[in-house]
Amino acid sequence: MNPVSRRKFLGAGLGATALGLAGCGRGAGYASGVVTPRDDTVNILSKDTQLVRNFNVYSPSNHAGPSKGLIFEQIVRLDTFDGATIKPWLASGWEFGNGGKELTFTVRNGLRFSDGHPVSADDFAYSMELPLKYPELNSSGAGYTGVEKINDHQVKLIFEEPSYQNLINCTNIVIVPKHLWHRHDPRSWTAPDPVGTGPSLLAGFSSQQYLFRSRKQYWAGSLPMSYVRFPTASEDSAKLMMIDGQLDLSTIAWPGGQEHYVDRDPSTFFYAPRPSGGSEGIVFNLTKPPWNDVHVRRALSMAIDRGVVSTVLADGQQPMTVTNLDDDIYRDWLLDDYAGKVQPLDVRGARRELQRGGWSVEAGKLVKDGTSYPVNFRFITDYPAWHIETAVIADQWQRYLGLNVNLIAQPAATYNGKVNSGDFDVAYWFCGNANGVYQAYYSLIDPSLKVPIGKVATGNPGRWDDHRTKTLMARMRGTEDRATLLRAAHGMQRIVVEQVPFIPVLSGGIWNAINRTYWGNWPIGEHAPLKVADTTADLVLMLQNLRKAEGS
Amino acid sequence: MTSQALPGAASRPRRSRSGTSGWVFLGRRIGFYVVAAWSAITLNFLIPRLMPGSPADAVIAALQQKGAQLTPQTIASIQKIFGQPDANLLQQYGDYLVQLAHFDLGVSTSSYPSPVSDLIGQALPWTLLLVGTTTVLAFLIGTTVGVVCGWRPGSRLDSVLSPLSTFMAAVPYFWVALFALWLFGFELGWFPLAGGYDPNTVFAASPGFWASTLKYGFLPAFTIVVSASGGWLLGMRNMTVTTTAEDYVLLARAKGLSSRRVVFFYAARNAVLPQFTSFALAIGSILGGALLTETVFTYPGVGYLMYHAVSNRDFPVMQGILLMTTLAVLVANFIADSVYVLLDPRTREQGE
Repeated sequence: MNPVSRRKFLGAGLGATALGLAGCGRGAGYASGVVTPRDDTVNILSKDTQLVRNFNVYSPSNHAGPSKGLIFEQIVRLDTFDGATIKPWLASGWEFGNGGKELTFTVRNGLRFSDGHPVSADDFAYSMELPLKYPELNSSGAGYTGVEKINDHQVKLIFEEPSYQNLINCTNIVIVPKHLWHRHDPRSWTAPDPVGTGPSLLAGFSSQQYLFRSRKQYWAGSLPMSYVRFPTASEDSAKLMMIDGQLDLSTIAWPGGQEHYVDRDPSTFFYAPRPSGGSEGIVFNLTKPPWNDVHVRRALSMAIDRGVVSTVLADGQQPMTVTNLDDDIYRDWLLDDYAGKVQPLDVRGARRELQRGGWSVEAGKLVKDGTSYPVNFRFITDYPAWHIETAVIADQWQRYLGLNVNLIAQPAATYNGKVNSGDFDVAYWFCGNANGVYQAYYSLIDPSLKVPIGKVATGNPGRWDDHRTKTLMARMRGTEDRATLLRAAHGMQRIVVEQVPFIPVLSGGIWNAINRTYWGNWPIGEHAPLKVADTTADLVLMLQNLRKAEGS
Repeated sequence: MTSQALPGAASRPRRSRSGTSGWVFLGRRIGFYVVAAWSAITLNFLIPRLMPGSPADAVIAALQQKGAQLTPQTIASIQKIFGQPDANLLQQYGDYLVQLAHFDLGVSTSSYPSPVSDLIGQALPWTLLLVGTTTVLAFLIGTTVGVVCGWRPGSRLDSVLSPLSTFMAAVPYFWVALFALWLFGFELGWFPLAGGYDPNTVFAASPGFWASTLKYGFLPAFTIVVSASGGWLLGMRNMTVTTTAEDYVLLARAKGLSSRRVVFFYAARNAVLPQFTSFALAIGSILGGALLTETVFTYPGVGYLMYHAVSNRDFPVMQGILLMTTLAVLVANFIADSVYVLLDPRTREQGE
């Protein structure tokens, strides 16, 4: 080959590469970017680092992101800090009928989509029917079996059984415009130019950020900032961007946040996660020894120093109370004896419990009647905090009871399936929630959710099977009478504290790393009525109350 | 003279033989690549399905990590939608092949219902730009400096650069990347902390946008080049040291050729051959992206897309990326096979 042809060859290769690049660039043409004034823009971290132009809010994948709240709105919302109650949003009210088997929603007056179309009961009915018509879009678990439009303002949901306690699932119903959606197949349509009732319009999209512009007319009162921006960043970069003032809010857990962030300038930087209502704790496989013995469970609970777990983790999560119901959120529901009570470290008590059950510890294992049982403790490897929490607990069980704990880390894609099918001994788990007292216990220990070992459960992973629990839960399901609910809630608290079907360890967190350089009035006080959030109506309410910082 | 005449006399019958053997050779090569492509396609289909776990579990875990408090009804729905596909493996395989024949990569499960081709199309330009440029740069820089170091081993330059490049090649990449991000991005504020371009400029249309890709891409590119060129440098240096001892280099020197000519056209040209083989493979794996870089700098490329797909058990996206990567390696191999002939006359078929 002579030099000329070689040069030709190289030239052709370079040309081909350049063409390829140009072609790719053309294919990726998105909405144009907009430069927004920093002091009129709120910047919130998008924890999704793979943004896709997919605003099909009924898509079961987890990318709805901030468009759920800013563009598409819920019919009702959960008010976490008002006792985890349901409040009106796009629906101005609701009423149960037929013994809890029918639920009628009233459409709020004067609602308009961002394209000017008024919102009607037809839009409500269309949106509510989507998950029924297309099971692949029913990711929210809508439990109703029928939808009926009553008149221009009212729509009725029909359930097969009394569903007073399922109102919480209706927070997942969002209203989409029928006049735009009915032309597409929602199973394959990505709604690239979203139109909804929310306070914002999509002003820009790229694989790196969402940009929303505030509407002038919005039924709940327009937002005080012109733009809300959601850039993506890894958590490590996000921390630097928080300090740098490029972000106003990141809902991330920040181990050592006080020392590494707040202490730099406490008047600007804020990080103090508020309890989310749920907890991180330990569930047992209650179908087999030694975990089916209440003495063993009590002993293990007593041998945990939750204060130390919290200090070592240092991300702001606090020891969880014995009832697994948060003191602030559930203050009206708690038994006086248990309010604010955390199980203290009680080594002597723990040893006594083991003795009472006839157990001893030999060679690091639990032994009874000549049979010995190892402690296999599973946790999810994808959550960095859980590595720390489980390691500290394992260390304490070793230190105080002499148990050798086998810590087994498992990837997210197999973990839930493993535990939910009962293929475990002891596992670290999300326990409880702020969805109301009934839901907080229902998902964890309602015997009605019990399925045989080997079959994947949707709740009650430990297979708790207790007659009293069953009765109380059924009673709560069938009523909306406050006094009955309160009595049942008290009964459930006694069961949880005395029988220890699971062990609450640390409270879950509402993560809230905030930089107050540009925006103030964040809902961060100890009894703030609103919630720091990056999605849903909570996000809208938080944004409505923000004020420009002085001198910004 | 006789020895010169002999090959000439023998060349006639050999040429006619090589006419048929050339076709056989080509057929064999093509056959090899077809079989390799088919096994790649089949493995792409099988491997994700042999992994334990289901998309449903991944979706649930991801939602819970974000703070979602799912009710049992929601969990039941997600399990139903994202559970393991029910159809038997053979039928799924058949469907997959039919899909591929229509150039349809399917629909992502973790970004349902976005087509896989959209997701890859969104990430690919960035990976080509970043990893492509840096692979070529690292190769060129590393190889050139390697020649200079290898030509005079023990010189001042060599005694500084060789240990330094060993060090750079040995230090874990993520450490270099995090350090660079902290120093140049945060402490000095010279470069942005995350992203592949300024999200506030008009996409792909303005000079400002392309300028921003340079600004955003510099730090990730710099760290890759710094880490990767060390390996090229060492390889080239050591090969050059070996070739400088060869007789033909001595001869070239004895002929009084300029030392630049001796270095680059006699020593380096022979020393570069093994480098070139590795370079062809590196080019093939560009499409796989650079996971660590993309993670640290939140760079919107294929590596991160793949990571996301694997951790969410998003089979269609995994298949799409694996397919693209394996086919790219095959193509790069094919090109390397062909171009090697141009670089090294010894590998050309006799008689041409």
